[in-house]
Amino acid sequence: MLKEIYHRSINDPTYQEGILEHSDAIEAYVQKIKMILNTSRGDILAYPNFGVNLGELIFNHDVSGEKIKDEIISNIIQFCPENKFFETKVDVQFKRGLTHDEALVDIFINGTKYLGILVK
Amino acid sequence: MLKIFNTARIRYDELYADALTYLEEKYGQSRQVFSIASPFGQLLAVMLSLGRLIFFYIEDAITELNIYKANRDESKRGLVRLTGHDPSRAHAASGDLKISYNGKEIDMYGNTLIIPNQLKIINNITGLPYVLSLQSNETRMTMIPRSSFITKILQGEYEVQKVTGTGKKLQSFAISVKPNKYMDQQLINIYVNNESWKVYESLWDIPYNAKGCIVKTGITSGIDLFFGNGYNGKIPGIGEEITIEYLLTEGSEGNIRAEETFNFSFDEPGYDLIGNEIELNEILLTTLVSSVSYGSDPEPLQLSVLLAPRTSRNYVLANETNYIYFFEKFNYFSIIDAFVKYDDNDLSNDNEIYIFLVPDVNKRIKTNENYFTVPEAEFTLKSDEKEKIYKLIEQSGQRLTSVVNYIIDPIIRKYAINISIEIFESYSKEYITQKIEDKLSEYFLNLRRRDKIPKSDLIAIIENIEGVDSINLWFVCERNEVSKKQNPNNKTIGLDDFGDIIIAKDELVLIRGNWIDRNDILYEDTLNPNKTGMINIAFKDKQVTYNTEKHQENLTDLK
Repeated sequence: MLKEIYHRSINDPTYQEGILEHSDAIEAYVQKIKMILNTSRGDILAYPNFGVNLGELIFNHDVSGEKIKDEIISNIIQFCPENKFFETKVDVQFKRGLTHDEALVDIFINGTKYLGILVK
Repeated sequence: MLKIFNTARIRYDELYADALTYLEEKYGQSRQVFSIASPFGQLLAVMLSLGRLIFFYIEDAITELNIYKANRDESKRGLVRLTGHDPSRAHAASGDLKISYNGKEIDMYGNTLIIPNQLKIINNITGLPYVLSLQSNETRMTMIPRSSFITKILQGEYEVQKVTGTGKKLQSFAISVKPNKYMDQQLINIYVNNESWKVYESLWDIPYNAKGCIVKTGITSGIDLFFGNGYNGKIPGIGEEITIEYLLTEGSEGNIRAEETFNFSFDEPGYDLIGNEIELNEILLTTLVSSVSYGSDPEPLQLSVLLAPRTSRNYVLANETNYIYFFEKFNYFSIIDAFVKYDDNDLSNDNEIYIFLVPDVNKRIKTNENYFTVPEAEFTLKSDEKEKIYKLIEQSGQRLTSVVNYIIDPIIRKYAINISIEIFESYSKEYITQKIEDKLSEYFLNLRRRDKIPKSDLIAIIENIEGVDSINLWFVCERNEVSKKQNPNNKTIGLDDFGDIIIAKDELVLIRGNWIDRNDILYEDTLNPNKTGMINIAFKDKQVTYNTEKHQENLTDLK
């Protein structure tokens, strides 16, 4: 049975208090994707390619939504070996913000939306 | 006991794999759980990476503590300093210059010209600065026809840096200089609140509360300056101004041979008696009285590493090794030897040390010269250079009063080289001759052996020249030819049974002509291929066949 550290943030709406360890495979997979999306490249010692520079990618004028999707998917394939057990889809949508563009990154696992990140 | 790692598997990837295997077994997890994206996997990977860095730092620290294995120049310099060796800085080239009045009348008060000490002059050929080194703060010259004076000049220009005293014990200051400029070894003056402080060799040499300091060659560049602790040397007070005056030189670049063309111009003015500036270029002429010599670059780091273990901690010139070390530091000589004559059954010379010095011709050679064309005089020290060396030994204060030193003139032994050579027909004789001259010049300019010159060295060099098929070579010794002419049965002199040149202790071997062999053939001092000279090459053409080509290929593979 899978065992993993429970590391959802206390600010997460689905945060469950008192849990240190969990055994949910999808939860573990989602947490891994979240780790990839929230880590900037070069932040992790000895793994310079780990993470997606989401902010930089989104505010770069030369990068399309497709390119961002590819970047996220390639990181998931490289660093989440369990991706072969789950059908994973990434969706990136741009919308106009108050001062500059904002982007919404949605992650669908087996057809269900598990994660949505607003980058602004 | 818990066993996760194995001492035979301490590479990073092995440690990582072993840790993963342990966790997989312990928690019954598949390996994919511990990817870098999982919190557990990331903690593990980062911990192991930190461990790897710790191993790396330990290995690096150990390596950098070994003077022979250290990679970084700063580490080598630091270790060299720890042994007590103070790497030699550059030496400014020095010589004597005659300054004379050209008789031109100019508008000035009175007829006395004041020339200040350290006046800057420029060599217009090279653009390098030189300074006058007068005995006093100024010299006065009466402007009458043919009036002149001779002064010492030094290559470089004086610079000043200032630091402030902290009032603490053992204050130290690192004084850096511009890149590609060197601080002179000796011409460094230290002033504290404009009062001159003496430079000592060691902290223990500075008397109680005396105004003194220590100057050492800097680890990165320039110098490091150290002051005392009150007992050994006075402590500069808080806020006191410490002035470091030094000569910034270009080292060996500043040497000028007496016969070389030169042209100095004055870069700064002189003065008349009421302080009016006088343009010196209008009224003064300069003539070199002696060559400007003895300029040398700082001690190369590799030499420092070799010299460091031989450092004499008492800084005394007492034996041959001390003298060799002392001269090696100047980076000016190609051959340095010092010896005593204990075994000659003469007690009167047992306190004498004989110093054999051959200047490094590479530092004196012009760009259009090679070993064979450089004047013979460049291989020996001139009398003024020897005087400078004696003076330098005295000024160093290291000579034991009971030891007498003699710089001995090398006995020049002249040899010629005869070469019999077979070349492939597609190569020109002129090309091969030129190549041989270049390669042999390079060999002899870098020759450091003091026992013999094997002819096999030269054969190997020539054989590697493209187009050479077969070669034979032999030396002809002037002394041997004279002896054989007197009596053909005389023992061979200057050559051993192999035909290699033998070098005695006080001899300097030169490939030079101007002598006659036993058959009255004159070996001229020339490289002219139509005359018998220093190098004589007899050519024979070799036809290239399929088999010779194949053989050459096989030979290249064998090498």
